[in-house]
Amino acid sequence: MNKVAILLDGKEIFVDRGSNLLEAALTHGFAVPHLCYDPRLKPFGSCRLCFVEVEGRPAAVPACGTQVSEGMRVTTNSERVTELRRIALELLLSEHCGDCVAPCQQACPAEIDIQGFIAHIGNGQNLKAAALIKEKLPLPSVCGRVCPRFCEAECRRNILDGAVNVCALKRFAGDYDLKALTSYLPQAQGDSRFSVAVVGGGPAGLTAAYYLALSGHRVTLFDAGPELGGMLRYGIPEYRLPKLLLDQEIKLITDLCQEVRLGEVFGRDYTLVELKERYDAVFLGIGCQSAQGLGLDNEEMPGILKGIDFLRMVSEKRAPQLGRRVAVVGGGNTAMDAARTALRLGAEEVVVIYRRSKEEMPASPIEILEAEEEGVEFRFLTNPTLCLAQDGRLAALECICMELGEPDSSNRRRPVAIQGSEYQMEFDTVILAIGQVVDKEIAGRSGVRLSAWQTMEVDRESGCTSEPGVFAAGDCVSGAATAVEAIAAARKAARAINRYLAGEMFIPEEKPFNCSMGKLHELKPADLGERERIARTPEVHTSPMERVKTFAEFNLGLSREGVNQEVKRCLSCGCEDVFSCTLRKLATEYQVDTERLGVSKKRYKINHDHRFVNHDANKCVLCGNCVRICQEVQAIGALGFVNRGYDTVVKPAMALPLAETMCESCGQCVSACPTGALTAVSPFVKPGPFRPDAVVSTTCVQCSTGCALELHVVGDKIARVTSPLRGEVNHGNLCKKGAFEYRFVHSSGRLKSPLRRNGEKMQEVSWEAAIGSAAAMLEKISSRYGSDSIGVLVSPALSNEENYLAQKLARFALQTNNIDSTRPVAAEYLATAAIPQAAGISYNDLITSDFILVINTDPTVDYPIVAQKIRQAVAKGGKLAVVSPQATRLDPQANLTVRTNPWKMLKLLQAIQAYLKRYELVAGDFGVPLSEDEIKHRLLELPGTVRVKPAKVIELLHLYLRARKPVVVVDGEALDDAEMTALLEIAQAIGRNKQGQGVLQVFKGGNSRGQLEMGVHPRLLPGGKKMDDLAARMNYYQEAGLPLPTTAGMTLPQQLAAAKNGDLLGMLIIGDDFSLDCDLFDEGMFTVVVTSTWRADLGKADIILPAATFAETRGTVTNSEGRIQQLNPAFLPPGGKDNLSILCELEKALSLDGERGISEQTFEGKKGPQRILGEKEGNLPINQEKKNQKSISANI
Amino acid sequence: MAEYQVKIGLASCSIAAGAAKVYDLLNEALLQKGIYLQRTGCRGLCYCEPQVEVISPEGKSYLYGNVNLANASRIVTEHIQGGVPAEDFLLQGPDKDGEAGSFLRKQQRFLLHNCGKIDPENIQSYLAAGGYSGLEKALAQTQQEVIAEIKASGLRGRGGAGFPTHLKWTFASQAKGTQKYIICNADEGDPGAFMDRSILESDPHSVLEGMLIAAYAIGANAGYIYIRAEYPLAIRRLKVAIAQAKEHYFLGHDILGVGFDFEIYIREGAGAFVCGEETALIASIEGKRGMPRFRPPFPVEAGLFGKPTSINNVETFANVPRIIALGASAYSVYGTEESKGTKVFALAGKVNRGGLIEVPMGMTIREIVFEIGGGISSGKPLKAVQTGGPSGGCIPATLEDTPVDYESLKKIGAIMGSGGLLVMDEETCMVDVAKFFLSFTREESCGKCTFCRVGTEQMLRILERITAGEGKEEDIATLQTLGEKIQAGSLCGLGQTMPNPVLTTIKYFREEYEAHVRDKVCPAKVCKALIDYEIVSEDCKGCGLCVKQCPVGAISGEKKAPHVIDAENCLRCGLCINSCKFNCIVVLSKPVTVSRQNAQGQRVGVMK
Repeated sequence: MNKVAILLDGKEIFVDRGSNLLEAALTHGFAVPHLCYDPRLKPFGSCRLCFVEVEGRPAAVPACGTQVSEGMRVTTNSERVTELRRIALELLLSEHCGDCVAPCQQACPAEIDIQGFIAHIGNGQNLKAAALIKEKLPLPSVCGRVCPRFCEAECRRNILDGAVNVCALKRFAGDYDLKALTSYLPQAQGDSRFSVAVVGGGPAGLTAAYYLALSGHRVTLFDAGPELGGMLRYGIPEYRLPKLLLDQEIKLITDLCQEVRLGEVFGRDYTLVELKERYDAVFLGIGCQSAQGLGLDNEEMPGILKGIDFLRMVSEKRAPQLGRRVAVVGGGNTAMDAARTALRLGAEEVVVIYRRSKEEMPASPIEILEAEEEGVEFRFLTNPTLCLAQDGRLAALECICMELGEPDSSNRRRPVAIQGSEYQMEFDTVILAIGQVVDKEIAGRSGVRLSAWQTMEVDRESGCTSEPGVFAAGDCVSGAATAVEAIAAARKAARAINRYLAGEMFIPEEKPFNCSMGKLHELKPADLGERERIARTPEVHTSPMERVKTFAEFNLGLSREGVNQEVKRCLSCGCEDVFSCTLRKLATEYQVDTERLGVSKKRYKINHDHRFVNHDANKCVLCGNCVRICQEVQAIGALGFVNRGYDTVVKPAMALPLAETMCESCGQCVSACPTGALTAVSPFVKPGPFRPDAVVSTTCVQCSTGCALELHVVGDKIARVTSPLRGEVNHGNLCKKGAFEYRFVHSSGRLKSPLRRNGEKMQEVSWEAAIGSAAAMLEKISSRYGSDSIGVLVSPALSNEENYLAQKLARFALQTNNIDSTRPVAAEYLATAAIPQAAGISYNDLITSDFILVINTDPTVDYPIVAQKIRQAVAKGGKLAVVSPQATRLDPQANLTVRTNPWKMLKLLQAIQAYLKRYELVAGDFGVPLSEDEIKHRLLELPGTVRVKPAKVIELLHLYLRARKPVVVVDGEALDDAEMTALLEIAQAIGRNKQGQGVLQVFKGGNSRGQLEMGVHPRLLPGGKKMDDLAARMNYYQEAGLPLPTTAGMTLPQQLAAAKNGDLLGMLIIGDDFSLDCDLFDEGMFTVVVTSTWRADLGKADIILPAATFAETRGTVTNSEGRIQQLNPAFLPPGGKDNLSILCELEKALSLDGERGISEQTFEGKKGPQRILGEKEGNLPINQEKKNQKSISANI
Repeated sequence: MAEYQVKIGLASCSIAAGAAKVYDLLNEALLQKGIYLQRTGCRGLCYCEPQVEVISPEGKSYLYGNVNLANASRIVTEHIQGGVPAEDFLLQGPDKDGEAGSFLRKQQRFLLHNCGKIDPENIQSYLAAGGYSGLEKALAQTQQEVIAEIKASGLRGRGGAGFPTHLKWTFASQAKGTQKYIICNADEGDPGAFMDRSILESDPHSVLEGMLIAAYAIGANAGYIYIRAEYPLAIRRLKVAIAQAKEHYFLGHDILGVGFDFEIYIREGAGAFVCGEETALIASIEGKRGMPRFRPPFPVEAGLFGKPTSINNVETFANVPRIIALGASAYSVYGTEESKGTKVFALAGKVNRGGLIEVPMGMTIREIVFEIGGGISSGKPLKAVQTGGPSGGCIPATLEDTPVDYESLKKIGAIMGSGGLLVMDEETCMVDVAKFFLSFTREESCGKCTFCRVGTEQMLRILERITAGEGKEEDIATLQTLGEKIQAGSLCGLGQTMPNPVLTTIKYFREEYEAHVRDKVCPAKVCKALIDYEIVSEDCKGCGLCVKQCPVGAISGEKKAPHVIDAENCLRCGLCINSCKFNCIVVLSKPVTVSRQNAQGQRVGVMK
């Protein structure tokens, strides 16, 4: 190869002459940012990101538009190019409109992937929903009850019809998980041998313990109380959070801990110094539990209680006597809890006294409403000034009326007393719920630096205190706040402890760039597109009258319908491409600030009208990849640029809906889109987006091209299919079949258990029974009517290994050569010795070919990837001729098109032979030498019968003869054996049947070539050896140790004919084939079908064994160029057995020793098929095993 | 027998000024006298169209300007019949030099030699003026000799960038391939520029001849003229010229018997400014969306349909025949060391004598504006000159002695461009000017590359904000940053030059920007959000004319009593000012009292 050396950032690399600088940098691992470059396309230069500096050039140049030259010195990351790139990104983002991450997730202190877990619920994957929540919050059930719902305040649905009931959905997922037999627990990492002390068993401590334990650390959890839970247990009344449930959720955490020590008080029973000695790190989450007083003179008298103390007493089942009239002073959630608890304890009259008005109350509105419903009275703008005692116990409160003055530092209006407005109210008990502070004594003894408010001073991101190795989070840091905030801070602290223990520098969690449509108040309903208005579903509550009588939970959560409704209401604001968006990655990397230029005000309608492709022009960066791949690679042009300047937009042709254009649904535009502007329609009800659980590299078996696939697996489904760029076969290109037609894998008709005919009905039976009866019946037929009364048909979608076993089963167990493909291809030439075996042609030989002849196929329809390569050859100046019965989409590029009746193809080929002979254009001869008469006859026949002008044939021949590297592309099914032989004879005769040229047979069946090589053909043995080749028979006999059947086998058409006239009585059909004649299943014929999916004609079969699809198969397939490729499973087969096991068991049941011949074990790994084929010429080396196989085992 | 010759200029500008009716009238009158009224193109004196030239039997030329139906017949009756020129609208005659003389004297009409003299629709007229002699001469030479002649002349591309023409031709002639193309770029898109149109309308054969010589020099046998569809007259005359050239075997097969074949095709563009860019123009001819692409490969290597292509501007081509015919030195005597020859400009704006002028390179701006253009029309001082159209730069009056050539203009941040020259006086707001040009380029960006597509929009938004009195302190810096990055980062010339008006106005008129941003004042009193109209009550006679003019009824007042303008409703359209006979309506800056934060947290000025 012609290479040049260039210096990239001081490193010398060798790259192809003539390649562009960007491709050179990318293939050598240099990260040059780009959006509009795709190796499948010509450089375009629209995004203006790939700027680099080349020594000797005054200005930065775009790498994609710069050709490499010897000795070029390039800097990829100078300040100048970084600045240019940043500005370009700023500009792009100023016209990029959409939400990367939904606003709810942004608002959640714990950063829960709310859209994701709601989608999981919507897709029926409730456990995955809980798992997703638990990535950020280990107490979903608890939080689903007590959270003040920061997320819902930001829900976009607020501007339509009220927020989605996120919290109730979280509760649903949490409860579902708790009720499950095995609640979700992520795999904990191996023992780190580090020990960590977690002080405090409240939400902060529990969270820290959970994440630390999962990281493999030995956690000891301390709490001063008799039970864990902290404020969750003592501060929140039973009717809001049942303690049973709290216990369950806590238990999941304590199960992970090394030790739990209760009743030990920090600072009293043990000190920080001791902890630091005994443990490698310490987490402090001691909360903030000291109730504040009003500061009145005699507020320490009997009858006056502190809110938090009161709630604790109640939860510890030692409720105080309250009397008839109870006052609660304060306006927070604790005040509401205290008031409602007082009601439940029997108080007749409960009055909440609050110094400001209702609007300023810090309690959440729902709590205030519920308190009101239950009969709590409110005295707003009122403040106690004096506690009046009688008999040493409180008797009345003197209060003063307030009015609101100027706003104070908290931005609430400051209450000001109205002089002289004092009045008295009689109470039996007063509960002061003014607020809580950190216990000064405990905090003082903690030994870490405190703030002026006596809270612990920590680093915000890491929770690191003034003491090395000591971290803190929760209320003791923030002052009294919410559980979700404590949990969020504790998770971050756990992460910091993890890094501290590993001896790593602390790096704050990456804050990915987030694009936003705008703040809630800036948006109008129209900005959300047309959305159905659906009212918010509230949780089911018991009536206020009922609920005040008891401490039982009054909020019963959402009904099942409510859950469905709320899931449906979720707008899925976040971008579907959020996990793979290049724009977002770059914006994060370059720390783009959208403040300067603002965000886009453009609003294009989002199109969901295509079956496979969503188009959101608001997120388009006009890189042009979609337009170009549709035009340059697919030659369709379904998308184009419309308008000019800032108003430029990509639209489907003629402003039609995409589905009504020439669109072929190949999804290439989606694969080329660097943002979320074009996304594949999710197979899920709710699109997520989800991070895939696994990305499984495998091979497409929808035709014989052998495209590399990546199955993105979420749960038990394929969420998306992509193809690796720079792959050898398809270079990241896919067609509709590869990209979207995987959905049959999840068809509702998938068979899960074996079926056996019982009278008119099919009955589910065990595997043993089904296989047993199948074998028994087949043996019976064989012994009674002879082994040749049984036929075996195998689908070309099956792997080499399965095909090999199938022929072994036929030839040795059933002793018949009646084995063929369900889609036979012209292969007679392989079975006869007349023509030497065609040499190997790879698809990439097409690209460099100077003449391509396409016969009887429209590759643009059946083999789009092959068509792409043909177009590339034409673009490079190659000539193209198309012989086809109807117009093909390649015709416009063709130098010559010949229309002919497919039935007359042989005549045409024979005429060509005659021409070659007549004008002595070839040295050799054809199979049988042609006589002068034959030649004359064939030439005369041409215009009449074939209806092709002789001039055209001559033109075709001239093109063929003049070419130095001609390739003939034929459809393996469209030409019959005689035609194929004639064609090969021509190629052979003119000396064009060599390596890299000749005839390339492409097949509709994914593994048709593999079938022939594995011996699934009546006249071929494994390795492509001929049945009448004695040496090969001997060889096979020796290897198998068993005699081969001697009678000639029947091909598929012969078998079908034999079935009709009763010569064939038993049939074994392996693999899915929907084109088979259902007459086969008629009465009198015993059929065993190994198939994946139910279909109507199976109703007449006798035994059905549920098969695996390609997505459940490990093995290899051979594409039509002879490349052996890997199939990797993404799932377990629904029937529980893969096809190899089924075939092996059938073999055993037919009393064939599986160890004989090449056993199934031989196929472990990739060597199996190669062993069979030997070092055969023309077979390409097997693909390297792909990476990215992470956690497949978890799925299987 | 010697007779009077009468010529009337009939180019788009003359026709717009009513020349067609004058032609009809004169033609009829002259026919009776047996005199053939000759049609010519444009003389460039756009400020006094229509023009009629009478050449006396003695060969003396009398040029009449501002000819209308009323005075046209006087030319016949007084001058032709009576033999006495009608002095009152005679622009120039043997005994009268006048304004037209001042306009023409300083010019050097090398390229515009034929314009206004020959009949553009008659090849004989062109031939009589020495047409196609350049081609004959060229075809007698070798290709190298032709290119060498062009090299010696120092001719540089007149499309704007000033790339040496001989180099382009050399590259194209050396490029591999048998099929090569010549493209004439007649996609004249700058607002206010009409050099190409005028040449095509007045002397189309010179362009064809130039293309023929170029084609011969590089070995092309097909040429395209890419012309905007908005030039119907130019297209018609080109078609006539091509047909006539074919009839005379200057086009087609075996031209002049030297075995040289050449065909010319016309492609009408849909008027996208960016299609003046070479690669976008090629894409447009090929039937694709007019979007620029990477260079290299340059069109001289792989241009139209992937074949080597030389693209030159109309003006460049029009120069070629005379350079070849008269020799390189006839051209290179004009101009400066680096910029040889002459340059055609469309002189417009607040200048007394606007029109099409051709001057030697290196003439100063002052000479052009004051000596040829006759100074500022409003009588106010010169403020700035904008060269190079919407992507050129504003040159302040302080730099009026800058010679107009490629190097000098580049040095001060402006460009030559295709030849627009816009004169601005003190009444022009430079921020408003920058906004005007930017709003043009915003519309005309092809939308392909990030910097140009979004950058124009962002810069325009900032300018709109500034002129609306909502500018932020950092806006000027942002404009500069964006402008510099857009220059550095854009794909094609449009984007790379588009920030020029903004950057040069910031460079030379920064205080105007600052006045808008900080004081919320438009010093030129142009930006509508920052001005108020007021009637000076002492001077107002209460005539009510302004009330009638006001489209929104914002003026009220009793008859014969001073009127008042309701500032709330006033559109600041200026109709009242124009209507007032007593000049009592004045424009005042809006006084700004306080600034406060708006809902978005931006500081905005609040009017009193």
